[in-house]
Amino acid sequence: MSFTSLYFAVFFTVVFVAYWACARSRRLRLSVLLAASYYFYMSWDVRCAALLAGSTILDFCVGLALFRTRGATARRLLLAVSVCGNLGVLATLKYGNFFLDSLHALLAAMGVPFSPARLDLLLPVGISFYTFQTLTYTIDIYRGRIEPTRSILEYAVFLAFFPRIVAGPIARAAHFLPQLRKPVVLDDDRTLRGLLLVFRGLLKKIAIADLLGAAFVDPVFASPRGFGACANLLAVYAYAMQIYCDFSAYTDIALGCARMLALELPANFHRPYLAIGARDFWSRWHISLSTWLRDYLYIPLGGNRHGRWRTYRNLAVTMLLGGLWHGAAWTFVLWGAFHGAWLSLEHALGTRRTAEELPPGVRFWRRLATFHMVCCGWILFRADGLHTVAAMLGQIGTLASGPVVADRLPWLALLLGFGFHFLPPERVQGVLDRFVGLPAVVQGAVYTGLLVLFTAMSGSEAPFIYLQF
Amino acid sequence: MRVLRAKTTRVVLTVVAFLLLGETVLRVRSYLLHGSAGVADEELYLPDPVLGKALRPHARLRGSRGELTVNSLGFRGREFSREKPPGVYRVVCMGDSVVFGRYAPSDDQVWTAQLQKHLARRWGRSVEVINAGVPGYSVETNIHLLRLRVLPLRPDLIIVCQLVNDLNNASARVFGRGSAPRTAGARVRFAPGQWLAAFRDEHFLLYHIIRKNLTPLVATVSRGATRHDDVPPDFSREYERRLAELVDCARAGGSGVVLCTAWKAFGPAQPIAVQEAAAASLFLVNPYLSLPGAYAAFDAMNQAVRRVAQDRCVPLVDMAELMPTDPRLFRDAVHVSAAGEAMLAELLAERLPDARRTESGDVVH
Repeated sequence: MSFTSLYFAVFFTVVFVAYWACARSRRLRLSVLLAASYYFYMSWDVRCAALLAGSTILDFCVGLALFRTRGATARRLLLAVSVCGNLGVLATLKYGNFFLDSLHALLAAMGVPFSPARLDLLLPVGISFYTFQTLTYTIDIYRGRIEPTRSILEYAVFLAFFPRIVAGPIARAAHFLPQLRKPVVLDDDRTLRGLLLVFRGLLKKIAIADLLGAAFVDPVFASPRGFGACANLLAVYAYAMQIYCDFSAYTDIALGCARMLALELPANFHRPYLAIGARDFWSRWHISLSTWLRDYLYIPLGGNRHGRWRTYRNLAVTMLLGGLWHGAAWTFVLWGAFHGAWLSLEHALGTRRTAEELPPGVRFWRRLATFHMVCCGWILFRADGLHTVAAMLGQIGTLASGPVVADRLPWLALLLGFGFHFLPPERVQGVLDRFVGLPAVVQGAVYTGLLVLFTAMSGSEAPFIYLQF
Repeated sequence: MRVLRAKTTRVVLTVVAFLLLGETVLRVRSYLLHGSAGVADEELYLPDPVLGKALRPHARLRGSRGELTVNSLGFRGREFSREKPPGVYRVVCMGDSVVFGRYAPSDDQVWTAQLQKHLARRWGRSVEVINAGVPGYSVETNIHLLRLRVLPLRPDLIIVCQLVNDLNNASARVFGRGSAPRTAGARVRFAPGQWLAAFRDEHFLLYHIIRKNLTPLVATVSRGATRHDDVPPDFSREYERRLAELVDCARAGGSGVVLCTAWKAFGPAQPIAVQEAAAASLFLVNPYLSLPGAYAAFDAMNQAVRRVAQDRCVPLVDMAELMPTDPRLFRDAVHVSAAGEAMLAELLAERLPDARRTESGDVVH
């Protein structure tokens, strides 16, 4: 059930009405959310729900046990059960074949005959997201930062909440669970703002991301040598905008749906291509993941507390695993390594000034350089193998001549994408405030026009990029 | 009541009202044009598990554009018996919308109906011409139609006039986003999402009109400068293979076959602006081709038809050469006007293999 489908629109309308009809009873309201979330999740594959339910029961029980247990060893053991259980399932389902293939390639290179059978396993959609989310719960209880919930219904909704289950943002229990306990009131202004966010997400996805992918990105990444340097470079820039619009569109729709249900999810983006360096970029891109990696991996590894080389190692390990989290392929590992090396280099150079502290000229060049470094990373991220990376870099580096995609609408979409990205948030907020203040009939007319546009433009209903992770 | 007064509710109701208004306006327009306020496709077609869609028996559309009927056996035009009457020479015309005659003002003015009169007069015998054309059908769909519905009619002769659907499908598949064109009513399996989408496809005229008109327009705008000057790779070979399969299948069923090449409203002798204008409707449904690409595609299709005719020793009526590119004969790039329907019937009647009954009672081809 894609967010861009009629199916989802009907589904959400039913959920919205049922949720607010039951709003006065907390138990009933959460039951509606849980039923809706499992229905939504099962629409991808019915079997996935069993794993989700298993994870829910495991961590709910571990959470309660952790809170009641005093002994350090027993607590560590309980945490290990949660971490190993969740990561074990993730590693087996998502990375099983990757590890086997890599082992096979390694042994074959060494001349050792080894042909393991490929595992025919189901890969549940969103498993990376909900695994990380459920770990925040048990780890935070272990650290004494939160108390466990006594309601399995509450915990199941936290883990399965449908707007964010398949592609985040990764919510923290400390932030989300208290919202489920509070009484909710149907607020007109909040609902309208949520609806506006949903439509903004749909616009970004259908009118920008999908168009850029079809016109600039997919043909060039499929066959880089068939295009010249300009087209290859343009494909990289367009992919930078496509992945931003695609992922932030998903986040917008998730945030919008949650807001209409009087729930808030964490923001995931803050104009990432205005970053002045690697660290700044990761504080603006996929914020819920980068903060998770920081709090639950980098800092436990020692962070920057044990000297320069340990810091570099910690950065490298964190980003390598962050890369691997995205997918079971060496290109993702290399992408993670690239960002780890860049972060380490930045750390070594000791550049700690914020964008506001830099002179405008320096800030501009730093932003431009950072954007291009990020784009280099995106080549690794998008390419289906190292041969594609080499071909693209070769075409760009040798200034190869070739045709340039010259469609009119995709260029407009690219400009619109950059517009969405670079507009200052306060200005965007001003426009949104004014729009929400417009008469209902004007808003309705705009939404109708957008629906017509989406209907006309939605072709093959390309899935959201981050659904694969 | 508080909920109803809420601005969110009013916004949603406004959207619903606008959509209903659009739906109503389009249904009134449809009624005036076609004599039916329903979705034209819903009135005209039935979902079919093999063909995707099939003509709905007893369908009748009547409006300012004319009258269109489908008989009880699911073919356009008058009723006829499934069993071939003794002494009648039965001809079945197969193809797409150009055979169906979507723009003909009445069933009698479709070229197939006019062909029946011409042949009866020329051959001096009872001839029955059945229109088995269905808009949107490709050669592959027509192979299924032949096996399922045409061969049981035991036709003496099958005339195949297939124009641009195969080309459009291949272009969308190769040059487009990889999505095959939607087939009305086709359902793979039951699922709420698919059921909803099918319901929307079949019952909302607004959706139908947007997808039919705005989607190609958006594709045209977005691909204006990157149209292809060549045909999709393998198209020609695949088209030829399928056409040969159709011919073999018809012959195996005991029917004679006549192939026609594809005609079009534009030609190199016209000024470029005229060519572009005449081909505009083709580019609306196939925004992937340039004008040279369209010429290359028609050439590829017609060469394939000629090769099949030669290889299979099948009579060929080279309509591509015979049909003039006179604007008065065409409604758009390939569909003909009333004058075009008459001309097609005449041209075909003149060139079809003679089927006069000899003194011994045999038929001469």
